Amino acid sequence: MATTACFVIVSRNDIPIYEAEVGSAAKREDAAQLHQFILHAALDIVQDLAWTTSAMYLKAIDRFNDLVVSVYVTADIHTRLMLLHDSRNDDGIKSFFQEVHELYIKDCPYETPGEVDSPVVSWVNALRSLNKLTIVVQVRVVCSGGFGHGNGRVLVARNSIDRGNLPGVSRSKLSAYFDGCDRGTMGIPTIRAHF
Amino acid sequence: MIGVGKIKQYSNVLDKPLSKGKQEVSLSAFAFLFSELVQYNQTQVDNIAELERRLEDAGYAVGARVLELLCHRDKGNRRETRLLGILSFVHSTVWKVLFGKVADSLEKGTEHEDEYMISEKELLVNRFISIPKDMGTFNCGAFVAGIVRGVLDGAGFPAVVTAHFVPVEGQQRPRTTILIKFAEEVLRREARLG
Amino acid sequence: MAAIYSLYIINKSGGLIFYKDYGSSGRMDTNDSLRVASLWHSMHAISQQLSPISGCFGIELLQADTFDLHCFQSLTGYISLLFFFLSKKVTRMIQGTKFFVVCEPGTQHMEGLLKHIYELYTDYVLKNPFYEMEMPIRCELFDINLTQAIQKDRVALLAR
Repeated sequence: MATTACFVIVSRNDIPIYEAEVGSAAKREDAAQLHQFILHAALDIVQDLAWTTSAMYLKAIDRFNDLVVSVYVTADIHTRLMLLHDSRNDDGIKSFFQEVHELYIKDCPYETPGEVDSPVVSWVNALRSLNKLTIVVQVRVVCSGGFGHGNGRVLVARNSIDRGNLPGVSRSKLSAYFDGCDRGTMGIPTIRAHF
Repeated sequence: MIGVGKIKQYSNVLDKPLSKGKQEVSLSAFAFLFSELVQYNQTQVDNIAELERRLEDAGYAVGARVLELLCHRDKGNRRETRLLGILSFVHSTVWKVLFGKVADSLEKGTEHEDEYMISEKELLVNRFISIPKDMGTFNCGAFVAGIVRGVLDGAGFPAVVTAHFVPVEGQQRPRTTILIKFAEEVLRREARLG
Repeated sequence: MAAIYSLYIINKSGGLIFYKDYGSSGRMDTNDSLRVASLWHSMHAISQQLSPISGCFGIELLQADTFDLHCFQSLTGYISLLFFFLSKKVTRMIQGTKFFVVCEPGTQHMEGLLKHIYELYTDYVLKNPFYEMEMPIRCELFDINLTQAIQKDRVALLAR
């Protein structure tokens, strides 16, 4: 069965700091925009819901046709892990979120107080100042019957490149790098890019 | 090299387990590092207010991370959504991990509804620091104030946090009070949540 | 009656960076204390050269009929000097930060006290971001803890 899933980490001021399309369904060109649109619409619900419970995993909070939005709010209430999916596997999604959360804590992207309004993802920014960008992404899809190990196209840092924050790095070069990494790994794609 | 053969070396921070907490750090090493932090920032500023702000920003980064880590490690992935909850989290959990003890006291301000105070007789960062007379009321506790602000801000309780010396009767040394003044929206939300 | 008359701390180039008087007699003004400090610095250096065996650390105890002088030199912060002494070329000099107390003749346990003062110096002076190396010590916490240490020493002396 072809499955669709889109995973996004939204940071302070609703800035997406990480996006990944995972799933085995054939890619439609307008799918990415549609997914972003659905996820963006769900942000308001998250904002209200987050204060009513102390749990981090908020379960499925919104739906669009057969697509469901599941959300996990970390201790930093501004950081929301959002997954758009069409499969029902609550436990699998919860443990996926927990695993991503652990990775997030270890690599905690953090915005300096003065820069909260800037669109730049600060950890990308900080690394850029070292003249070297290292993006370590570990995506592990843990659902058993769910969306499986998709050939995830990782669009990390796309925002930064689109905004011209990473001079000298073209988008096609980045994509090519990730594609190469993806093919080389099985099951757990670990992607590292050095510039 | 120190520690070789004792601690497992992880090539990647992402492979390291999160549960390994409560590791002690040499106080001397911390004191020298903190001293260097203050000295470095001193070279970057023109006045004391600016120095205070820079120390606070340095602390903010610590607070933001500490919040994420401790909610995961000590609270079993529960968030804090209430004002008193987050204050006692700072007063006990955060203090215990950072300074090895619970803060001396947590009080509500008598004059204003939105003010809370965390007092510490001898703040760890101030243990070896004497403020020169010409620096007036400057307090290196600004770093700790920044940590508190980082935790509160991250959890969704924006506040202005400042560190002050408060003289204590019969004591040679003043104690440090961390004054927390919450933003209006926080109190409004608290009232709404009931 | 005080057992300790005064305490001096001199930096590795011989400048007085801390001076405190404890006795009621023999008080010195600032100029005199500076002079004594640089005098002691030189004597200490000369004593190293007088040693027939190399690697001498200098005078540790000076005994006179009216006072004892105990000196403790820190193990770090050496400088090497090149100079000529008695037409002999001297290349190695051991010059750390020196702490010395002037006390009553026969006062015991001064080495321990000096080591303790050295500990206080490393804690409350060297870890203080507002202290500049080799400059006069003006640290409130150092003063407070030093006074306590000296008082404790006095109590211990009375108990003996």
